Amino acid sequence: SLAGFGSLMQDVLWCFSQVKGTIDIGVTEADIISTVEFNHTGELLATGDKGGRVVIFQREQESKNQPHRRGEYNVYSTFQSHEPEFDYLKSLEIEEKINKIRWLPQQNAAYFLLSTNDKTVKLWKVSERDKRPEGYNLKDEDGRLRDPSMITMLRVPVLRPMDLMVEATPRRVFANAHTYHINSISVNSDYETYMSADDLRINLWNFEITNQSFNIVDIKPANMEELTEVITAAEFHPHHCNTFVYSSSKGTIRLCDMRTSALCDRHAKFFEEPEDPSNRSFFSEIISSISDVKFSHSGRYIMTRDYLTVKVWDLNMENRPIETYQVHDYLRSKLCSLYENDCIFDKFECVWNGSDSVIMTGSYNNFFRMFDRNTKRDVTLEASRESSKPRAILKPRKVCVGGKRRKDEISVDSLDFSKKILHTAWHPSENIIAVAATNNLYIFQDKVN
Amino acid sequence: MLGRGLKRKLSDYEENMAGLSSAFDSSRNLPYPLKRQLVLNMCLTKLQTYKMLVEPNLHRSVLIANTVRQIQEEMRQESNQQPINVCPGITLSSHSYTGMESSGISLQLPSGISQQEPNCCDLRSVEDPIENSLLIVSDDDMSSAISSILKDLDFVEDISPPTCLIPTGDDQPKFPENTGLKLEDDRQDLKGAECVFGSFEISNSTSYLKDLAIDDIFEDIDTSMYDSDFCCPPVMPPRPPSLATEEPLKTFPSCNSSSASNIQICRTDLSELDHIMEILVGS
Repeated sequence: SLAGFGSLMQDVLWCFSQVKGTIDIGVTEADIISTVEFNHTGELLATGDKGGRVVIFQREQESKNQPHRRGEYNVYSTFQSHEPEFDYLKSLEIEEKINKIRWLPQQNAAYFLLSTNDKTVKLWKVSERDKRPEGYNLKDEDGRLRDPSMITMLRVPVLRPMDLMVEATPRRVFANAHTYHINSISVNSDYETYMSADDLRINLWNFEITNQSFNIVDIKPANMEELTEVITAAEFHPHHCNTFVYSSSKGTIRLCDMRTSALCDRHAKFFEEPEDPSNRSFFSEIISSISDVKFSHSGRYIMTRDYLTVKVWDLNMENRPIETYQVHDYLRSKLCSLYENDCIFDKFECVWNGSDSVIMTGSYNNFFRMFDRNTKRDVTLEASRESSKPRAILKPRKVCVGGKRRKDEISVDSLDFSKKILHTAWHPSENIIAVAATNNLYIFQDKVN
Repeated sequence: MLGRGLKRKLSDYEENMAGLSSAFDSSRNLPYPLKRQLVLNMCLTKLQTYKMLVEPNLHRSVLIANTVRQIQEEMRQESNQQPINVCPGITLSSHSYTGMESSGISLQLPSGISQQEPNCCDLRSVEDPIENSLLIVSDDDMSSAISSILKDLDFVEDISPPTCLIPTGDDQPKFPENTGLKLEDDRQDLKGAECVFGSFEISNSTSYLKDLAIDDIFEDIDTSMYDSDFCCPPVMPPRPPSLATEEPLKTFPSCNSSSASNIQICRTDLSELDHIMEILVGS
């Protein structure tokens, strides 16, 4: 239901709903979740992991008998999307880790999604089968071929009901188009094309054609020693099929229009905030690198995530963001240590809620943050097993930055930097969120009144 | 300030660096040139580590290279402004790291470190361990570190965007099966009729990519009118001529688009063959 949706932060109380994954102390690397995405209706929730697997959860129908179990998500399909590969030419192993999953809007009874690792994008069809044919002519019941000369009469196979089976089949494989690692895929609003972006190039694909793609952005310099900037994320505009944005490691965003030229090396708009001299440090550039860029559902704004902040930009104003939110500014005084242990390179994602009124992003210690754009309130919540009792309300968390630490606060030096929330997703129309905490997937919902 | 739960086997060097970076973060009295030197050394060490990887991370390498460039530029400007003067209080050990030696980074005194001279000497007793473990690097060394990592990232490209693509190793060209599609109409109909029901067999859906053969073209369940395959929009970009053989299949709405995609066109790119021959011959 949409009651209370998009309203003030104080009205929304987040409750634990479900958690998926094992509780083992040792984490199997392959089980680490690397992407989370709801489909366009929110009926399905997909996760990809480092082992190249995709798990799709489906929301069960709400039942009047159990109103408190508001549509739980149960496993619908599991399949191996990508396998590790070896590039013999370069002697490189290609990781099977799923970097991104993007759903296509549903056009028939089947579901379609794109999944990608570093090099190859695949289109998967997920469909249900609840009937099977019986009575073949050329095969017997065990599948063995019959001798055609022994067949004396023909019959028409009939469909008989069977237990529901959900199948995932690869319908397209889009390979060999990226020299560098794919960081983003984005389905165009025309539903005919999509783009894939790596560190230096962006390619445009037609869903029907796998052996050909069009290169629309190429920032590779003639001499690699002159390379100073890479592409970090890219996304199509939600309504204008000719418009897309891509972000860079220098904290800039370029908006491109594919109508102007085939190769979009010249941007239509260039978004960059002037540097704050008081915050200048050796690590300024590194922390300005944008790790995620997302259009609002309305298409009027873009949101970017860099190491310490989330920013909202108005498409009509290029010289600075209209809003800046501090995710964990207390880390600003720890940048050297975070550089030393490579945490400074962690790529956090960010998401909009369905009405574009609240934005969410992850942090360390399994904390994640929400910012209400209207009330300017923010909250820090934690995805932990301790607060995972059914329908338990999540208690806001607070990091103590110095001075006296209150009872429920945690000090900066006690934060667990191995527990990072990089991937989160928000249901397209309801207050349901999915939070990936290493190898566990948490689902939270707002409190049912 | 490593988080708890972060299990790492710290070598002596890493422990040292962790201590240094903590000192960087917590100490307000650490002189600026020392901080800069520490960051520079960390950058160069990371770049050196990446060079030893088969495939360095491009994003990180660029960010670190830019940080080195920034420090390099700063030091250049200082050396242009200040006469070369060395703080007598600092004892520089010829401490070097394994791996650093191989890159040929020599030990030289940096210019411009004199700015904070009095402080350096005052803090010497406290910061000795820090100074002694810092490697002094020249401008040339920084430049060579940057260019060497970036050159490593210039991968030999086996594709040339935008259109020339070769099939991956595990997708064999499907020509043998393709010719099977050039059937006369009556044979086509018989095969087609059987194939419509061919997909009803319980297939092993986990064999996701092996040998996409003709059967896969007809894999869709033709369960009545509502289940049509991924819809192919009317406006189609031009296709390579060899796909014209798929025309007979258009009678099956669930088949026409997928067949084209599942068949990898084998293109012989002569320059690519030359390249492969070079590698094989070991030139």
